Amino acid sequence: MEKLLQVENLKVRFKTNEGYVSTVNGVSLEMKKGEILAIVGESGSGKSVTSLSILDILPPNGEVYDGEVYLEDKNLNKISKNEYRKLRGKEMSMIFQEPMTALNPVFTIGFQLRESLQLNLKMKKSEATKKGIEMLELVGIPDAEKVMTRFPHQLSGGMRQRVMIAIALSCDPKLLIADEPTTALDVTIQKQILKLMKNIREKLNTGILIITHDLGVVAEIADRVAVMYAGEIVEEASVFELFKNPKHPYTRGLMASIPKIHDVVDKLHSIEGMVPNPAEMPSGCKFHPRCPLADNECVSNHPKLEKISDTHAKRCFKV
Amino acid sequence: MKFFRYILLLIVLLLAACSGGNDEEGAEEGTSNDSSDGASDEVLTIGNSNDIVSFDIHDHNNTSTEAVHVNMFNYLVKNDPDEGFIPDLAESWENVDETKWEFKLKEGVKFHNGDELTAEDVKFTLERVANDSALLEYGAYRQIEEVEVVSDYEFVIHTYEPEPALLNRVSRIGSGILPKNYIETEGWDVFLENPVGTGPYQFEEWQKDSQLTLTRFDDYFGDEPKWSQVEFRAIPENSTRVSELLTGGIDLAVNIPPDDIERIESSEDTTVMSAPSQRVMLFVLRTQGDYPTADPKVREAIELAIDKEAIIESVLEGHAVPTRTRVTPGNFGANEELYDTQLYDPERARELLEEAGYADGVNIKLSSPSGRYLKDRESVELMVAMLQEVGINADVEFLEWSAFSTPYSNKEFEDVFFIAYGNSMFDGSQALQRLELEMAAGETDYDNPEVEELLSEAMNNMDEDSRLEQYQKAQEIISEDRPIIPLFQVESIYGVNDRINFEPELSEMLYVDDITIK
Amino acid sequence: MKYFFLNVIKTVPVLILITLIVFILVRVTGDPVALMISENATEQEKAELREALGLNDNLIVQYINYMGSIIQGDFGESFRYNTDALTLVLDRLPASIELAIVSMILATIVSVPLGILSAIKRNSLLDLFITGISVVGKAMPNFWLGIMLILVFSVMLSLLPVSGSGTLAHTILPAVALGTGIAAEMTRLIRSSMLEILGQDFIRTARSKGLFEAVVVNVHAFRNALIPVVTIMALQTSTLIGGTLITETVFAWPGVGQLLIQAVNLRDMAVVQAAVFIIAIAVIVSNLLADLIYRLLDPRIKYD
Repeated sequence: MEKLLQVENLKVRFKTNEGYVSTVNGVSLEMKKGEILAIVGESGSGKSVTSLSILDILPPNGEVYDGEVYLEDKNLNKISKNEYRKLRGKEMSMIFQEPMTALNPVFTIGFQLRESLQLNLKMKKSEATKKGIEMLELVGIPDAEKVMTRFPHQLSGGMRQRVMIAIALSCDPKLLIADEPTTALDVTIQKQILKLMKNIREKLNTGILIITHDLGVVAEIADRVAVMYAGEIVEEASVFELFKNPKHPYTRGLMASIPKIHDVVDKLHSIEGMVPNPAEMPSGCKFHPRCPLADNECVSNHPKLEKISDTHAKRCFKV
Repeated sequence: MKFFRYILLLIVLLLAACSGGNDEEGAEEGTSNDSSDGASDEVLTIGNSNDIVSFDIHDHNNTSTEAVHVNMFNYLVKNDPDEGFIPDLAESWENVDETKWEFKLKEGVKFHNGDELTAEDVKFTLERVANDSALLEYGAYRQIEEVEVVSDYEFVIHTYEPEPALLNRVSRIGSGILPKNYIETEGWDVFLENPVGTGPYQFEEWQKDSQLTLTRFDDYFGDEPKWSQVEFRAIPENSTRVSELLTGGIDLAVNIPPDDIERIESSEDTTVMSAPSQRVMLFVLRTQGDYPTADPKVREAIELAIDKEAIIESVLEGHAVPTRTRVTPGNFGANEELYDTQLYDPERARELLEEAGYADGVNIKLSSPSGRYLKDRESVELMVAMLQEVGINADVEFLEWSAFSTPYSNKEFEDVFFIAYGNSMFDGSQALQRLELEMAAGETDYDNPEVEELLSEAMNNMDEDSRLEQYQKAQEIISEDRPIIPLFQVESIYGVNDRINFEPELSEMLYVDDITIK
Repeated sequence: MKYFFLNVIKTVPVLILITLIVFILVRVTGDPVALMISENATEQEKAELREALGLNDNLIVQYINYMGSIIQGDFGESFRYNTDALTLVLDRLPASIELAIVSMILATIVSVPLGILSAIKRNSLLDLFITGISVVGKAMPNFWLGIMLILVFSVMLSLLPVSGSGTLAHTILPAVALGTGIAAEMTRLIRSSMLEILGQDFIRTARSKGLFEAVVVNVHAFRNALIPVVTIMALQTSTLIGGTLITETVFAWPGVGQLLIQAVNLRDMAVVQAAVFIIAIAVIVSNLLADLIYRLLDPRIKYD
């Protein structure tokens, strides 16, 4: 089975005091086994919510109200809560942005590692300890046996992120979702973590869905990229194509915003305007208020995501 | 997680220790077997409002403590309300001369530890309290100069001055005879932990502030004790005590507030019994100095303004008797004409005030304790309203007892204060003592030479009849002079389980053997 | 360990200050002799008693004597009971401690599930209901609640004994009366603590591992929420020991509270001093205990 993940027309909304607010408005994705897909976008684009929906760990006021998610060939909309729970940690797992707060401060690293193994793989305590040490070594943590007995506050940010990765991978999941895994870390550590993730893909053939706002990360690690804006995918391409030939005005804006090392500029380029408030979405093309190419068509009609080649799709009337 | 297991273990251990540690029997509903031969296996449970203070019979002045002690100790004589002085430990006695009283003890009286009672025990007991000024009962026994032992069962009490009320003195708090040998050998500390007396019931166990248990003393010299065990429980909260009575947890409950009488009466298994007590509520007034009350007309007006019956009805549910004297029936020297009567005449009161120059009203300061005596506050509030009616504006201050007692002791109150007095001597001397010149100075400042003469003569008058006359005359005069205005004598109210017979005593003593199973 | 002893040493000046304050208060607020002696007593009798009790000595002399004997564990004799004051207090202490502990246990048993429940079902009808009864529970006066419990469970239903102590059954009503206010407070504390914890990142991580929701809430969340709650509760226990007065009076429970209030009313100085001292020690011990528990529960503190 080549296909790992398929998301079709996913729509997610949140209940607020002012009523429902939709933050994901029809997102479709596909991933093959062992593939690294990056979702890029600014804060508020809906990328984190998409990943939380895949794992079914949205906050209490969030709900998926349309669309379907398939893991391999299993339709996740049709399974019970308990079956879904069984998939988490075992078939698919996730690592989060803030390593400093992502681990429970009152339990040891060993405890938190063993938990997953004992529950999902039914290991005995001694087995789980052994495997835990293995995983820590896998993610490059020195003195793994000692670290098992330590508490999170005794480790650095980078170490904690590695631990999270170890926990997420301990049951050998097919899909790993990484939500901004390096954003909170030093640049040097960042590089190490990304290298680690690539290694893991090599070794274990794990599919990685990586969420980021950093195009540098995308360039470093992704096979394919999806660009999200205002709850939609506005461009999708192989990483090579995206950087060589970005089509959508938003993507181009993002690219232009990255300072090149040889540029000497007075002012950094930025895209005019702001990410729209999900409660007050613009009509037609959601990007039109900020788009240099926008015209009446863009205001009144909503563009669909169109393929321009096997490996490239865009959502725009003008390009 | 291991941590929680330890906590759980600790909790379980604690609970086990708690319930295992106290194995109080608590045979609360009397376990009866054969009620035919005088309830020989029965347990009597009495609910008091305080625990006893200690077993040092000389160092407390608590009626409620004495009410328990009388079951463990005996006096030389008992002051019976109907028959007068009757033998207890003393078989006979004679007042030989003004300062000498000869006594003969009963023979074969045993203490709880087996020792036999002799005159030495009497000497030991009485001389202790007569000579130690640190003991609270010293004041009532210091009149005894010496107890002279004549033989094992004969002794003579010598007093410093003629003491017409000597028998009263040795038949009240502090009069229990203690075991000399036991105390001298073992020491007071041991005695206080394991008291020994001659009474029908002996000490079993005392859980302070909880329960005092006494058991039958089989070698008691008097009538066979009726109960196998008596439990005195300390239950300070009134409603709790009443609840215990209603659920059968106790057989007898003391100090029932009037509000709870109906509850007890309407329940099938319980009744209310009440009888007059020694406690008289009264006003104390300044008769000299720069006070409105220095004018006898004002004092008279105060008495006439108060409708005592109304207060008794509304505040005390009828459980009191109006009185114009402190020496009530049952006390030597009582003037019956001044008892169960009142002078209520608000019209006349207003006239008197006008005559005194207070046609527009008069302001007085009134101090009263609050929460010390039954319904003290409510009674005084009602009285203040009545005074207001005739034009007497009473600026009343209510003080909690510990705040009241200091100005009281220092004689710092102003025009009038409210208080209640008991009389453990059952003798007029104790009631009227405070009106003697020396004692009254600074308080009422009462100074009537005629009364002074009557009282000081009566103090040492060994002739009963003339002494009685002296006291009665003194009360007459006092009721006209009004340095005090007696108000009413309160009843003591008890809640009784229908399975027992109980008659309240004037002295508020709880003689267990006077309580019988129906 | 060293830290522990240092803390203990720090409490000594506090204790000394407490004894001084009690000493002064008891002596300047009134005359104990006036309270002890019968209303009929003469001036002379009062003076003699005062002398006999050593109350005429200079205040400073009295204080020095007093401190000297405290160091030897002698708080003097109770005026009322004629026995050693410290013994009196220590005799009563287990009863108060028992009541305090059982109340805490009951309160905990009730408040933990209610607090957790109202947190996970936040703003639901159940949450509103639980919060409502917490407010009522806290507002109910101890005194009134005690009497009501007696009326219902002892008089009307004959299920439990009215008053006194001795068996576990005797402990229930007073513990409920005392524990209700505590349970109310604990429920709200647990609720807010849990709400705060449940919003934290590591809860999301726990869920992403596929853990049962019950484990996420009762193990991962609760264990963290416990830290502030347990600390506050350990501190509450110390206030319980001296503060059980009202409950002790209503239920005729022979504890330190009753003893203390009677002693205060009678200016039984030795007992007041001994009782306050012991209660102060109880408070200090609870604080130390709370500190210890806090350290045990929160690994972040241990190694700082």
